[in-house]
Amino acid sequence: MKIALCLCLLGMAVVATAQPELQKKAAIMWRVIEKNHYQPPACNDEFSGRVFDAIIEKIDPWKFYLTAEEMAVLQPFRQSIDDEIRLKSWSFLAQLEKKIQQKYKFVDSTLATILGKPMNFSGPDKFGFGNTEPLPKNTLEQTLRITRYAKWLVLNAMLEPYDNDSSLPAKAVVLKREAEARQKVLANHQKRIARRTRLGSNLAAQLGELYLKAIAEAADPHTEYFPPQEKADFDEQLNSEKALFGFSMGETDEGKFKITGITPGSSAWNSGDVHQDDELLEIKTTDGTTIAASAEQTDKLNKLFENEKLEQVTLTLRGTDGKVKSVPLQKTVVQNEENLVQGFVLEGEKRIGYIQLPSFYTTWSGPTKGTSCADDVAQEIVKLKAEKLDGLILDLRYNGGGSMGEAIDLAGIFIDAGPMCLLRHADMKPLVYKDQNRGTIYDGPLAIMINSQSASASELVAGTLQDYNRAVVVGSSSFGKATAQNVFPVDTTAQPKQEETALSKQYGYVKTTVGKLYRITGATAQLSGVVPQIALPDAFEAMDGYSERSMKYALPSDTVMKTIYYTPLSPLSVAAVQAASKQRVQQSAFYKTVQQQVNQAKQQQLLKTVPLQYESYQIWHRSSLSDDDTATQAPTAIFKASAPTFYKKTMQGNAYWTTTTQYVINDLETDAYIEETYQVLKDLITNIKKN
Amino acid sequence: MTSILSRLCMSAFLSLAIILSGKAQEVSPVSVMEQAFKTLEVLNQKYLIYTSAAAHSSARKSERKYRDYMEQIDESNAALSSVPSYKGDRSLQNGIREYLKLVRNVMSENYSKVVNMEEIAEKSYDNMEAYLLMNKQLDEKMSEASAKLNALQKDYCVRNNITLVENTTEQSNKMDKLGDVMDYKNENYLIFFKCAYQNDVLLEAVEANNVVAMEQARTALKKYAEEGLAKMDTMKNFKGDPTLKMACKNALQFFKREADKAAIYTDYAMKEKAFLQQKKAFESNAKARSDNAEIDKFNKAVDDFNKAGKELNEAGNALNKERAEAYNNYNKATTTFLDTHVPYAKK
Repeated sequence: MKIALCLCLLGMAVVATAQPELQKKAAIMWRVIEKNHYQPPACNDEFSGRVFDAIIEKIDPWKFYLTAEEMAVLQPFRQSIDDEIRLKSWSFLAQLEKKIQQKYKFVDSTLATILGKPMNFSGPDKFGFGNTEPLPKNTLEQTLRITRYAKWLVLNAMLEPYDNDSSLPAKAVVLKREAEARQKVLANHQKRIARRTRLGSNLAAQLGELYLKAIAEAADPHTEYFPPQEKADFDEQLNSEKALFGFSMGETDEGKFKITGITPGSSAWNSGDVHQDDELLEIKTTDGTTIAASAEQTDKLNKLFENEKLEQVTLTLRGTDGKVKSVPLQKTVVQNEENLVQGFVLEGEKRIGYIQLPSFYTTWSGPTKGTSCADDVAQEIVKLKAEKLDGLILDLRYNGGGSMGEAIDLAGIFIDAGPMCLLRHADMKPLVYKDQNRGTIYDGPLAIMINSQSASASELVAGTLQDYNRAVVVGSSSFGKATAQNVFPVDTTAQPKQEETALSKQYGYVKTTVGKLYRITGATAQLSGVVPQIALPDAFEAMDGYSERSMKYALPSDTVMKTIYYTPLSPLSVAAVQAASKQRVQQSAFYKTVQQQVNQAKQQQLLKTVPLQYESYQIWHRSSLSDDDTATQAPTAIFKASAPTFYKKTMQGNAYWTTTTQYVINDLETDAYIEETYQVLKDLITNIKKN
Repeated sequence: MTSILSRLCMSAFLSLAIILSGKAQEVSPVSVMEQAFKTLEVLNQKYLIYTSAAAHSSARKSERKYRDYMEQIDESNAALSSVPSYKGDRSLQNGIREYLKLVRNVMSENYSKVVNMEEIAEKSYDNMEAYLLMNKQLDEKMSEASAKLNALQKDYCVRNNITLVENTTEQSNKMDKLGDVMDYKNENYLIFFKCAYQNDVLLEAVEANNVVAMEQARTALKKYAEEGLAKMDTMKNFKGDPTLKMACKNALQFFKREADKAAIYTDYAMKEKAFLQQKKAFESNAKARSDNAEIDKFNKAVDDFNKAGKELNEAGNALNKERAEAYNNYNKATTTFLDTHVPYAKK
């Protein structure tokens, strides 16, 4: 009893010490991570270095603001952040804030001066943007770097109007736009300054948030800090009764707008074409108004979305693969009882069912389950089975994961009974997760589509069904994230499973990596991802940061030694199917273009430099654009997509459903990856029948 | 309790009678063997009495006979201690003691002392599979123990120049007969059990309105019913008596029908979702609420939904009735089967 009392007093003593609020937050958050993380790094000088680097990279990704000389002054803090987390010292952020305020002014005025004078693009100059790019030594080199960056922006602004044209006008015609382009860049820059000034009064708070995020990220790429407001916005998005388009967006430091989230069941979700990290280029409303999504239009965009009468828009988005697409959206109220997934029938030589699942969603309302993606997919399969299918495609491309329980339930739909995966928590024996229910809902031929954006729960489903020889996996290797996360309140006094406390409402939440997932074979998809049996070229191959292995501090890949009892089905004979697919891909103009784009992008990624001499730049600029005309598939001749009869009966006369469904049908019929998967499944069905 | 009883029937080997060669002595190897196996003979008799009570008498009497039997295990154990050794050889006594320990654990359902329950849990998908696997392993353990004791006895005889001649007695005949009855009954029961367990899973899923669970349980039930029916095709009547086989077959046919008919629950869940969507759309659309055509359309949807609800209730009630009959008939058939075939035994 005495010991407990002493501990309580000690605990109180820590709280009673007058620490800055942010430092207390950081210390408590770290303790929550340390307690729950699968493999928390030691809080030492090395960890301090990770946090320091992450903060600097977030503040100055383009290496404009800090010189090597200035960084040398900040260097001692590289080894002191661990002490700050342990409440020993506290001075880094104050120093950093002072320096950044000062450098903002310097860079802003330098850029304005540079943009105020005509530019010359004849010299063999270049701008480097790679991670290994050295910091400018001093302000002189820094000015040179800013000048180069400004040149790139102006060159881009000069050539951008011709991006949709098949060729460029003569050099002289383009160069005539120099002054206009410079003005445009300057205007954008001033808007950015204005935006920063608007938010700038709170630079300390922004840096504070960044500091907490950097500490979390230094543990591993999926440990993440959420300020209270971010979580509240997320919860509201899930439970809102308001009509919405169903996407959220955020402005990047470069003044671009990116999709940050999609609400299940919303119009954005149903379109199947809006993905996280897509860049918003412009928005068209039904009255013909078009607003470009750029920094200078922030206010207009905000007003547009605040307008409750706005019911329909068309978004122009640039996907993460570089493709530009137009997506019509309508505001709808998303209800829990609605099906968030809709199946389709692809009718050609075979009748193939198709279901796309963008995330493994689930909601709980008190003790009862609300939405469940496994339930929704199950119902779609039942509807599709009435169509007398020959096979089924489950499309998990761009599915970044979600609920592990839903993933297990979903895989279980296709497997009679058995283990699904293993989850190992820190210092514990691996736990075997089994299929929740005996029996299958669908036991016919099955293909799973994945790409490098299929992560976590998607990888669990694809990997498990592959291990059981239950499905042929088609596409490109998946992301490679085989870890599980839980969200904890930033409050060391929170009870286990307590989602919110009075303190967490002020301090926020931390999503923490609590376990590692293993396949039933004992192997893991961590880093390597799930490797498809049928590989298709993927534009993401060339991109940095779109795989777990490219992420800093990712947990290593290993195996688990445990005897798992499971009975796989007979191996699928895919050799002939693979060969036929390879041949089709080799002959396809679409895949040839994708492969060329991948090769070009890889070269650009390797160089990580932008040439600033006009002729060289225009080649670089044009090759960095995705060639939409050739990389877009013409409508397929091998199948026609349609909604199952169930919907034709129940949704008759529903104009919104008709429009959305037609949009998706057009999408399905022009998707080269779906076409190839259809062919693969068709060949597999023929093989199964032969044997 | 009856399913457990069967395990001991494997001990029927003990009914081997022995004919001795050589002269009887005060402490001869034959007398030692006789005394040692006498402890099991007494136990076997108590077992026959217990099974006879379980099959032909009241539950109360059966329970009393079970207690007698369990006490006899301890008494047999104690009696072994007073069996002398022959030239210091206590191999038979030790072997029988080990066997009695196993019998005690099995009969008192102390299974974790007999089989590795942790391994069974890991190897099994669910409780049903664990139960089946445990039964299989317990049977294997009992067979192994019987074989071991037989070998021990043979070794002892060879070592001591005793000729062992197989013979039958009234007790050994009854034990053999009981073994056949219980083996047949158990084989039949496990086929029924697999479906009955899955049927419970289906009903739980229906109760929870969980479509994934409902659909999977339905397909699993159908699969097990079909597998069971295929086994019924090769299973013979028990000595010309079709009672148990027919009851099991009828129950399996019900389970198969139920698996098909239970699709109505999933169908209703989907109709309900679609209707609620339609209802919400109608109620939130003022224009539709004043449009006669829309009102008619909505009223028709209400009628259709109500009709689906009525059909669901009727189908559910019919299934409940059929299920109760199937279970009742199977239980009755089991009782009749045991009453007909389990040998009578008295003190």
